[in-house]
Amino acid sequence: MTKPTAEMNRSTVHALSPMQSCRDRGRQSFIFHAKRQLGQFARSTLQAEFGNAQVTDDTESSVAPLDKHPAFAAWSALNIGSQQQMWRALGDMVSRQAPALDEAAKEWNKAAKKGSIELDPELAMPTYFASTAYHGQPGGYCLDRDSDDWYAGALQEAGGTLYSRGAGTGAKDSKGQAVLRFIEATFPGFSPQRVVDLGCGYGGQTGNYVVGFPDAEIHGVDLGAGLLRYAHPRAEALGLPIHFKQACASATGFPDASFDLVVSNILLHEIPREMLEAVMRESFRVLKPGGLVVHQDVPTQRPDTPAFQQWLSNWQVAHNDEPFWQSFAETSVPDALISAGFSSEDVFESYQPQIDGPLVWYMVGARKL
Amino acid sequence: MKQGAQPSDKPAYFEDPAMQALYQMVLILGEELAATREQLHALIALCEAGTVPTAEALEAFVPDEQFDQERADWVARLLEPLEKMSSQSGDA
Ligand SMILES: C[S@@+](CC[C@H](N)C(=O)[O-])C[C@H]1O[C@@H](n2cnc3c(N)ncnc32)[C@H](O)[C@@H]1O
Repeated sequence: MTKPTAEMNRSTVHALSPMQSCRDRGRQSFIFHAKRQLGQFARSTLQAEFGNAQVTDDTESSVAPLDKHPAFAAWSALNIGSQQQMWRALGDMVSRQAPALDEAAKEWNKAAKKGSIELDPELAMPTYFASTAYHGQPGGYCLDRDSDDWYAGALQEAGGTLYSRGAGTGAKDSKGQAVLRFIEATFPGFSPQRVVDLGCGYGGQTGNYVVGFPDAEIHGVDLGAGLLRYAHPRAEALGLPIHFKQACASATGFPDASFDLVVSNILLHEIPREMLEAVMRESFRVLKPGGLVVHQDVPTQRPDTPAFQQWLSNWQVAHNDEPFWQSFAETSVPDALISAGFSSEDVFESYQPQIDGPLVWYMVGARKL
Repeated sequence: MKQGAQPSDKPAYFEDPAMQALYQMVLILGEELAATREQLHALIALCEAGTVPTAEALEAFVPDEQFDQERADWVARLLEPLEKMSSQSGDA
């Protein structure tokens, strides 16, 4: 078996990466190409049909015009089918190697010297988090069956990679590196001593901040114990000193004014509006004066978002277990930052091209001056 | 201990539920064929190179770019009939 190929996997290969068998590669490539193809079909044919339907149909709802169209039904069935297939193919790959991955996790947990992990078995999970299987991931990010369970983290890494590659993200793209490039270009010379990554998940982006700020102390916070149990040995195996903590991004437990940089990668579109507002307040609270907060996410916030994009967003909500995608598109993050205490003149928004591929990322944040 | 969340039920896309099932079956067949193509390609390439196609050799085999392209092409062909459903195509 081989480690995942560059074509399939935009994230780093490490001791806890599941090996891809010849059959795994065939299955995953099929899903990847099907997703790319379906995306193209949506942008060409469905978008054109959407335009036609809008001209002839003046109903209020943005979903209605395409609902009864046969091409829409076929596209939806294939799109959701490929998503379900993806989780099955990745689940099979990870489960088959569970004993070996378990060993690797134990070994790196024991060897751990650089970073740390702090779990809180008593932590109450917000209802939305405990009940959402984000974009269909079996068990969701909250899966936590026993005190050794790292499965959610392994699936999040493998699934996040194949899903976003299928959606058009280039093989070399990195959300964390996009944030670093943005900071470098916008606040040249900014050099934080303490950094916290909110909603860090399996830690794939968190590692970028270690590389980008080698002298800083890097922390990662997430609700999911099953994610952090994978993130920690993964980081150790890669030689990345990261301190992981199980906590809510809205109540991290860190002291006031204890960080120079607060970041998050695609956290905001996965949380309800009240949580988003609470995360902005927490970002303000833990920042030192002079500190910087940068949240990176999908660019659905653009005020000039075309109607068809809006329609696709609605589709994610109704069909792909993304319950907050739409509310995120409609929430003003700058307003939430200002309500949280940042001055309006210190708040910024920006769209950054991905380094590899046609897509852009949304950056939003503030300097605490 | 948390058993986790399960994906929500999907809306019905067709009036006839058998249609949905058929799409699912086509995808599963496509995936299975993709896995078989992958193995068959590795097998033939190893034989042509005079290598004994042991299980290890098969798993270690890395396909070339041309095979990557062929994969993309046949999946595109599989989904081509979708294009015929647009109102412009005259077949709708
Ligand atoms: C889409 S994932 C992104 C993970 C990681 N930042 C990345 O980009 O690879 C969103 C993450 O946010 C976490 N999350 C959701 N709600 C949270 C909350 N209230 N506090 C902390 N983490 C949360 C989820 O567990 C998940 O790992």
